Amino acid sequence: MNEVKKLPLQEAANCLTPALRLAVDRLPEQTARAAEELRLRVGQPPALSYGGQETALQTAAVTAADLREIVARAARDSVHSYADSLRQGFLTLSGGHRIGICGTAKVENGNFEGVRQFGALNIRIAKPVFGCARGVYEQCCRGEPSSLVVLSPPGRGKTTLLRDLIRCAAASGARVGVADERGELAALRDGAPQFDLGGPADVLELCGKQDAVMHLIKTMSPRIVALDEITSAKDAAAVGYAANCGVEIFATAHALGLEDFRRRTVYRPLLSIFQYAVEIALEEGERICRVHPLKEGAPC
Amino acid sequence: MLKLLGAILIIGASGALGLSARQGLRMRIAAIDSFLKALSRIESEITYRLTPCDELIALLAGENDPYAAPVFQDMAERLTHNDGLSLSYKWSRALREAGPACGLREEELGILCDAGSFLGRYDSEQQRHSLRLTAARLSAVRDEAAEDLKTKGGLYRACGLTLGILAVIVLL
Repeated sequence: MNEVKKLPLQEAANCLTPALRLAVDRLPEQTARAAEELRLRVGQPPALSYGGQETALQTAAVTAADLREIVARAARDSVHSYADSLRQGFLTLSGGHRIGICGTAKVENGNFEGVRQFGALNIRIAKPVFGCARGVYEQCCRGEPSSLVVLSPPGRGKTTLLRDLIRCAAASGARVGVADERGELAALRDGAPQFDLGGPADVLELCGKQDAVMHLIKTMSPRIVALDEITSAKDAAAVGYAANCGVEIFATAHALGLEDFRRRTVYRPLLSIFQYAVEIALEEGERICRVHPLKEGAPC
Repeated sequence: MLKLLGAILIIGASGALGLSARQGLRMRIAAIDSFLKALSRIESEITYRLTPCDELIALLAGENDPYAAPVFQDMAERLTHNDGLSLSYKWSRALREAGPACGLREEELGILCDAGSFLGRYDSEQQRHSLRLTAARLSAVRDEAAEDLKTKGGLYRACGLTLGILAVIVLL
């Protein structure tokens, strides 16, 4: 018998309590397909987020016990086995979906050790877009990979684009080392990437970018190192280290655009490293990628 | 001759009843000891190896323990079904269904079922605290059971034999 392929939302809803799953299963197919996030907050009905808006589902309010149950199910009834991931405030589900966790923080010796009492969950529905970076890759990496940085405000698809850039590079035979600090690029679950990254991609997850880059270069000798979300001076130093080791870098950074990227102090040392900046702009609801050469002589 | 044979059979049967009641008390203590050992193993595995619960239950099911292993085997079997039921539910069902045959009584079954409500649902530290509390509650029940064996064990054996002798005297 042929198994009916589940929609990403239904796949992610596997970790929900039976009552919440029923509410999700009852959604019209069009809504389920469009869903980007499912937000669960104690005392409020679950809300589906798509197109930048949240719509509450017609079902009972979520309780703290529901959230505890959902996290336990997501962790396959072994929350303790996912301690590292929970310390970072998220859990990865099969299929690459991810649960972000909020509530009362557990702080030890001034360090954030995770969330003790759950108050809200955000289930982000993973939808890989195959081929979305092909044009960008062909433009920036003609025969040889070049270092590039993808720029956009949050929620425009930087990670999705970077993931597809990794796939393009892997398809062309380049070995890619993925420093996946927050486990968003590969979403390893029991060692297996939940997102297809192409063949020759080695992933180091849940490790600071500086250590991850160093480790990947020393142990896996990649041609390209991919990093998601360069936000701090430490992250910038990791990029600098990789560049000094002769590897190309695929990275993403939060910025409104190229001018905004140039203005930020933390990114300034990187301007001489990247050959291209890829801006993701939103025009009439459509995501458009614009490639800007950063170095003189870099082909447009 | 027949009367003598009958008398021996009556005394033997009633004595065996007394001994079996005593054996029930012994079995209860042995079962509680087994589960205390299992709780200690669960605590170590969760704390030091962060072993997932399904793997942990499979480990306990594979151990050569005549009291706890059948319950964990039942649990492990239930966990292989992807039926959307929680670990807590499966844990309790397995204990309620396979526990009495292993010598567990209502009091300790209740304590062990409570453990299912936190197992796998919190971080290792919180689980360790709860497991220790469960073990402490179970130890208290074990102490009571040992006291019962001491006071009632001999009484059951003696009562069984006495009742048998009385029945023989009455029948003769």
